[in-house]
Amino acid sequence: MSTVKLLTTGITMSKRSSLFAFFILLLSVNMKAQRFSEGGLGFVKHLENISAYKESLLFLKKYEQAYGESDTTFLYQGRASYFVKDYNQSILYFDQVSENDIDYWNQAQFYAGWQSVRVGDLESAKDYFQNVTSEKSIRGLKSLELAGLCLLTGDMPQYEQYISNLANIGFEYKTHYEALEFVHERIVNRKQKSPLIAGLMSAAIPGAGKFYNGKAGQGSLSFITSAIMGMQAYEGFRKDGVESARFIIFSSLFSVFYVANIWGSVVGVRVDSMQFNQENYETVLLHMHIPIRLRYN
Amino acid sequence: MRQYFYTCIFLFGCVTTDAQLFEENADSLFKAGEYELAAVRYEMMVFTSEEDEAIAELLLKKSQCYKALGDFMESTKVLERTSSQISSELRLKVRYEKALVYYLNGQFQASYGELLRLKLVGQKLPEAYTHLEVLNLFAQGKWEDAKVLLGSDSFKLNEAEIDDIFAGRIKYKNPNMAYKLSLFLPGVGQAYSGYFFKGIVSATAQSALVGFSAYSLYSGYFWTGGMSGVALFYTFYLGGARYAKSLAIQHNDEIAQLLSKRYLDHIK
Repeated sequence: MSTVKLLTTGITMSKRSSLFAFFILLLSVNMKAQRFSEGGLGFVKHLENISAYKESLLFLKKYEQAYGESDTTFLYQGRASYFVKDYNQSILYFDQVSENDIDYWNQAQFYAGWQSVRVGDLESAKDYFQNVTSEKSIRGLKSLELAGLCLLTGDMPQYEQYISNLANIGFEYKTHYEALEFVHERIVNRKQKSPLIAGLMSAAIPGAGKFYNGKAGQGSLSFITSAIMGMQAYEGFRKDGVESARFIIFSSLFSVFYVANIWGSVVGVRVDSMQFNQENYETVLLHMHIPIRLRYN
Repeated sequence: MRQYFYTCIFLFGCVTTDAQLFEENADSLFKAGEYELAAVRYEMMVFTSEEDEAIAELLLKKSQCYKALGDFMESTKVLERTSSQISSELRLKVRYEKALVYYLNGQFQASYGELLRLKLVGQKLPEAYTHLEVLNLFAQGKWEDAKVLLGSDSFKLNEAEIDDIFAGRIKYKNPNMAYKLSLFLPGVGQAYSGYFFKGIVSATAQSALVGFSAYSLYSGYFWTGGMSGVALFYTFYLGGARYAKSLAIQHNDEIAQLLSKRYLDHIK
């Protein structure tokens, strides 16, 4: 409405001032097409500050209906979805951010990349991180993310290349790449335990397989329960003989415990290595996450 | 000079266009039941306002949107954003609203706290909020206090009506008491919490285990008696006591709900 007001009054104005007004009009239209007008963007940032992400999504939808979609609306919808942990939806929004604005583009790639790792799509994550432009201010961050990703995919030669890169350009990410180095050393130095040996050891002495797997507490407990059952069975055998109900009941219980313990030792080795991977995954994910949040907050 | 004036008008138009995203204003959106949109619309007005007074006014309305949506958690968060530098009249309104929303969100202590603060300022609670106070006392298990309050002058209830509300066995069961009673004698805690049959079952199971242990040990089966008997008994013994405690909590919740329901039926 105000634009109409301006155009009608502009006719009565002097030539110079109407020209001036025209440029302002052009500028503002251009601004609206590509970016938000200041008020809108300010409001969306305000909504982020008060953690009203659902309201932010609703406002941006409404805004798109009125003024059309833009990189800004996509970016901030992506951010809002990320904050409410709707990772897949967030990635879809970030996908639509175009390369027109380098800063928006890079931000979208970093967030989409991290969220892809979070939902387990490491292939796409790699693409996103490699899409990031090689500007000086974010070169370090890009290397850090790619290094973390290589650690997760197990691509160690590539990982070492990125890390040596980081030592030169990414001194601000020192804590983070040191954490990655720590995980890397853990992975390299890990001695893989064999499920077969664990099972055989538990068959010889109940609980020994768990000791072998580094779980002394579980091992002792297994040994004690098996011993208790065994002693009760032995008591039945010694006092009432082989055919007594007492011996039959307790010896069957003992057998169940004995077999379950062997099985438990075998599975334990596998669970342990899964746990090991999970811990590493969490650590790497955390140290990929923090720098992105700090850079684009 | 004139062109600056027009430029100013124009720029103002640019900034405020965002506010014109919504054809209807917030209040009519709220009336139309579009609570989510109304909430956004109110927030837009909060964003452009600078006075604490106006902002508090708007936040109060925004909290109504979330209350209408049944999202009491969000509603409390919105109300907590109001500044304390506002007129006392508005502050009272915010307090009342907080008390109500905290209650609806299940934060009875917080709700009761707001009501007490209102009373401390020497404010006489309006009728709706005296009801809220009673309901809060019910929910917190302070039934004796509630009874005393109902007998006071601000409630136009006579003795018979109060007795009507508190009819039956209305007694607060202390969860820790139930726990200790069950440690003292298995099953008694459950019975104390009002679940007599569960107490009997627990007591029977545990005396059977004691009997089994004693018999085994007496007959010389030391391993069986010690491990299958005593160890199992010990597990049941502690588990039973914890169960008695949770039963007491369950009992109190049920009574609180019963009292609230009777009271609400009564004042209808």
